[in-house]
Amino acid sequence: MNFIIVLPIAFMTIPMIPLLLEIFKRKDKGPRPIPETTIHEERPKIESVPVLERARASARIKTVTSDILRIVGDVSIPDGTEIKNNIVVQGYLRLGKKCRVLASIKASRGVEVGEGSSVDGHILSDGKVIIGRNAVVRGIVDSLQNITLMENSFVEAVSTEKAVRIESGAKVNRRILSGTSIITLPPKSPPVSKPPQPSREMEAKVPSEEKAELTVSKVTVPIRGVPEERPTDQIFESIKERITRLDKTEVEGLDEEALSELNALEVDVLKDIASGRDIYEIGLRLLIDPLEVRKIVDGLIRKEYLDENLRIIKGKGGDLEEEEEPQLVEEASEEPKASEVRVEEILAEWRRASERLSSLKEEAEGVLRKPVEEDETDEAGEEERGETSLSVEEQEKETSIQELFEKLLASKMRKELKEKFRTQPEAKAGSDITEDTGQTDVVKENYSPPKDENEEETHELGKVNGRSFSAKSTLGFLSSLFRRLGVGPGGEAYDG
Amino acid sequence: MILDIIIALLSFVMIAYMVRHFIFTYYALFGRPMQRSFRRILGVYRPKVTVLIPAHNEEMVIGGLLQRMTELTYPKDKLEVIVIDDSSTDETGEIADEFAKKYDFIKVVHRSNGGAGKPAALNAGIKFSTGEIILTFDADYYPQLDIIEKLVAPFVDPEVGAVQGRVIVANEDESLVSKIVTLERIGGYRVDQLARDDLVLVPQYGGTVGGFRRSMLDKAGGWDPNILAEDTDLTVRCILSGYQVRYVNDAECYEEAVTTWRAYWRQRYRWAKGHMQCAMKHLQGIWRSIHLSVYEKIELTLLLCIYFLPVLTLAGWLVGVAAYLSNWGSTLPVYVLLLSSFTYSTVGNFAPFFEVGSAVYLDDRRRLLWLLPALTVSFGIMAVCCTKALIDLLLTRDGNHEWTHTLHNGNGYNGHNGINGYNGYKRRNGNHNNHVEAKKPRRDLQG
Repeated sequence: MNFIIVLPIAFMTIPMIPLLLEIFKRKDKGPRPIPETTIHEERPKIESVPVLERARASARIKTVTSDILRIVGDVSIPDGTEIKNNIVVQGYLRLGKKCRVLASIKASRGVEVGEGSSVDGHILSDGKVIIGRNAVVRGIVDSLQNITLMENSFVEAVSTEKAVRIESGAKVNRRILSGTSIITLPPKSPPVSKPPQPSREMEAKVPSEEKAELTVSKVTVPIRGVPEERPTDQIFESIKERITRLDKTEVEGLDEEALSELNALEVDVLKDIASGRDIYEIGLRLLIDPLEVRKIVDGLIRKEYLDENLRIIKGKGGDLEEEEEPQLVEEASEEPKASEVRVEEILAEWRRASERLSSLKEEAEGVLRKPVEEDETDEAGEEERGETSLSVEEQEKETSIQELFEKLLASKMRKELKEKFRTQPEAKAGSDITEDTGQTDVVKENYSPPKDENEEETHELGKVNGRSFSAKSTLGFLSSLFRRLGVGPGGEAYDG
Repeated sequence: MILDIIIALLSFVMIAYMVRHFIFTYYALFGRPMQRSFRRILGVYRPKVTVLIPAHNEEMVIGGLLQRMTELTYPKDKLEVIVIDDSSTDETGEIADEFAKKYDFIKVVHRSNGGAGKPAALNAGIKFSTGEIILTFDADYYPQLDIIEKLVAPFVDPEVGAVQGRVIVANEDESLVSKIVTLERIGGYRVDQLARDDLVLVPQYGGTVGGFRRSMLDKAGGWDPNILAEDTDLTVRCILSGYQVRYVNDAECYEEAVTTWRAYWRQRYRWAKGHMQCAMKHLQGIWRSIHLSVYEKIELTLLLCIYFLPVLTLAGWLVGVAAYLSNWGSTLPVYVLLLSSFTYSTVGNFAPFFEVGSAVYLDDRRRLLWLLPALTVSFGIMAVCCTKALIDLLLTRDGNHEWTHTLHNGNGYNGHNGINGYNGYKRRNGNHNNHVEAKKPRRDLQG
């Protein structure tokens, strides 16, 4: 036998070996259940308009099937048109108002259904789909791009690879399937004079094209992530009445011409003084430091707009005092409200607070000295230096500590007030809350964080004029101060 | 000179098929779908659907399919199942009647004057249907529970006129023939049909596990009983009407494949003859059509002429042997031998092998790769079978073509309907004897 013939035949038999094994293998005679699962799950990834489909559709534009009306290019159907055929558009389809399509629509670049129109079939598109106001689609709306359902529109079902935007009153009868997100928009409210600015976190999460709606209306999507309750809510609940009152400034009887020499800040302070507010309330309302308020008040006294008892001398109208006096007399027996407290009582309260601050300061100094005394390495020297510094700089430090805590108080309250406004956007309308940068920064500058290794044991917050103080003493001061001022939930919230 | 031109043209055709197979295989392996997917609306679009089940002497399997129909997830108020009892001489009609009494959505149409095979039965059934979408299943099929939802979804597109699901062989272990059929099914659906759908070509409605839009079917005039491949005929008419045909690969349905070479021959003979009929009927219309793009025309031509190819192959083999024996090599040009013998018989053959092998790989059934050499056997049989079909068609072109029926014994449903020939429905009712008789094929029906 020729070797050239035998060799190829021998090679050809090699693949037959597994074939024979497979054919003659022992068969399993038992039942073989048919699987319920699918062997191959189709996972298409169509990210753009199918090019070949478009090309083929272009080649088939002469199709004369009576069921389908084919159009190449963008098309706009006039208002009130009734179409009985399916519409296949190789472009953008804009359906006019109150049109009626008794079949389905397929448009490659997008579909816009006009106001009050109805489509009995389905809408398929590779582009954006907009269902107008009061429009009805009794079939499925399927798209590769965004789908927008405008107000009071009705759709049987929606499916898209991108987002679905649903305006108020729009109804989807069966199912919404979105590849990215489903955004429900509230009814468009009338324009607000001062729309609230969204927080930075919100800006970062909301797509840029949706910012316009967000600034004028409330969005009910979970992208904001604002918690329902915040710890500060409990605190602010107790001073809600005060906050509400801070927003109101109703002063009558002031002569505007007489006030023309004053700047705007002084005028505001004068008006608040006239309405019976104390300097802390004025500071809070105008977002300035109470010490600044005090300086302005002093300036007003020097300019003879106010007397020593903070009564208005210049700029007062004729009927101001006549209106105030009966109120003061009438409500004197009741628990005085801050807006109606007499100026004398405010001053008396302020003096008592100052005295109390002084005594608290002495207490604090005692606490402040303890960490120094506990230093065993240089106990005597430190104590001596502490006593010496106290005796020499006592007056200066008393003032500085008092100022510091007043600033602390103003800064903290201002910060929380701002947070309160942020979490309650509806409260921002009409208010003039601005970014707080100045005072907080000043306080931070005064605090120079100590680099103490025993920080946890001593709880040092920082040093004032070379003297350190602890968190305990600071909280003690703050809590007592808040109790004095009636701020906070029974003075407990700020207790250490 | 003329002989050279003819041979060159035929060789070009062979090379075209080879390229086609390679393109499909490459696209199935690495390509991405270029058409819209309807997975997003799965289960949402629920039109009224009619399922037509033609049955002729299918007592061994009809009970299982009807039982499965009652378990489908599609809402029953939107589903209508019509069994067309096509002059059955066994208990097919009685079994269907039992189900009709029990379930309102199942109806039975009894045809006493049956004839002309499956197309005539389907035409009879559609007269009683009320569905917007008409789906067809063979009696030996075992569908997935959510197959109706999957098959119906593409009809959301108003351009889609027909849809086809995937057929999987359930009884592949039964014989070498069923193994070969398994390979052919996997290659034909997992690669061929899917690639044609992804490439926006023309997937083929296979006569079962698929359906049509009712409006399109009414305008087309239903199934043509004179065409043996009525499914292919309807596919072409659908395309020529301006509609699309879509293929849904994950709409899987299990079938009972033929298990003997005789049944295999008869089945393929009918398919080959039917395709040739369609080619003769539609090729002219396809190339004159103003609805189709050029590559759609090319693809449809290749699809309809696919059963002519084994004839050319057989001719190539005969020419090669004759040239060897009579020393024609000195008189014929060398490229004739190269093209007719070498190009298709070796490289050309490799293309469908490659296609089937890739499909088996994609289905993660690599054990089946061992069976690939067995395809050479089926290829040789097909060459002879198709040649005979062509000769018969040419001889009896205007005559009546006999419709042969493939007998099913229920072996495909080992786990569900029966075990090794025992029909599940009848077994549950205590009758174990009928399967013996049913396994004896009637000569006039066996196919």
